[in-house]
Amino acid sequence: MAKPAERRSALAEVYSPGTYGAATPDGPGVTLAERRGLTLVHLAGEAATLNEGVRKATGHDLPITPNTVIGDDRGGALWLAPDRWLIVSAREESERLERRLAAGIGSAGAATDVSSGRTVVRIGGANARDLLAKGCPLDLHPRAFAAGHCAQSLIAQVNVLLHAVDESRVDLYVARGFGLTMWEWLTDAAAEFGCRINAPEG
Amino acid sequence: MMLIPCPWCGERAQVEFAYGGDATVKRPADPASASDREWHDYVFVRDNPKGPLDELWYHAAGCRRYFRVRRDTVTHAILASTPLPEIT
Repeated sequence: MAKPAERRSALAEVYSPGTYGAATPDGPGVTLAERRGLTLVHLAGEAATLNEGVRKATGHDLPITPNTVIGDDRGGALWLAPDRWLIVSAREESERLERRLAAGIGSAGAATDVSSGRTVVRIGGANARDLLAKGCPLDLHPRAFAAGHCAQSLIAQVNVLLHAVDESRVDLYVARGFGLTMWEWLTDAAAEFGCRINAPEG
Repeated sequence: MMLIPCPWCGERAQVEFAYGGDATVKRPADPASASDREWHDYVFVRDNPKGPLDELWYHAAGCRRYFRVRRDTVTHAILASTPLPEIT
C-alpha cells in the first residue's frame, strides 16, 4: 500500500512564532502553540459495551460524567455527548489506533479517524482564560471549568471543543476548515494581553 | 439571553441552542388516512400560550441532543428540563 501523504497544518501558511501585541511588564499574558500530528478518533456507542475494548486498545476508560476527560492531553478520552467520545493520542499513529479501537469494540460501536479534520491550538499563559472569555459564553472560571474538564461551545460563532489541561492551559479543537479563522481571531484577541506564538508542538 | 439547563451539560447560554418548538404536537396517528386539514394543523398550526409551555430545545453547539424544557413564556423561567424518552 502507498504511504499516506504527509499531513499539512491548516495554519502552515500563516504560522509565525514570535511575540506580538501589547508589551506587558510580566511578559506576554497569552501563549499559543499549534499541536500538530495528534491522533484523534471519534467513538460512538454505549459506554457499557465499549469500555472494555477501549481499555484494551488505549489503557484507559471512557468518561461517563458529561464534559470530563479521562487521561490527559497526551492520551485520553474526552466526553462529547451521551455515547460519543473523542480519543486523543500524541503517542500513537492514527491508523494504528483506529484499527486497534475498531478491533477492540467490534460491532458494538464505531471508531472513526478524524485526525486530519481538526486544528488543535494550545492556549497558555496567565490570561489564557480571559482571552477565551472574549468570544465564548462558557463559564471559564477554574471553579467551573477545572482541569480535566472539556466542553463544546462557540467562540466567535464557531463551534469549538475546549479541554482544560490544567489551570493555565486550555487545548482548543476546531474543525480544520475553521482553523485559519480561529487562528486569526485568537491572535487578534490576544494582542491586548501580549501574545507569544511558540513553535508548533508535535 | 437565557441560561438553558441541558440535561447533560448543565446551564449553558442560549446561543448554544436551537429552538425545536412545541414538544406536545402529535403526528396524525394514521398518516395514510389523515385529511389535508389534519396535516395542515400538524405541520403549521401552533398554540401561542401565555404561561408554562413544553418545548423542544437542541443543544446545537454542545452535546447535539434534543431535550424537553418546560418554560414560562411570560417570565422565561425554566421549570423543568428532561431528556427525551429513548426510542426503541
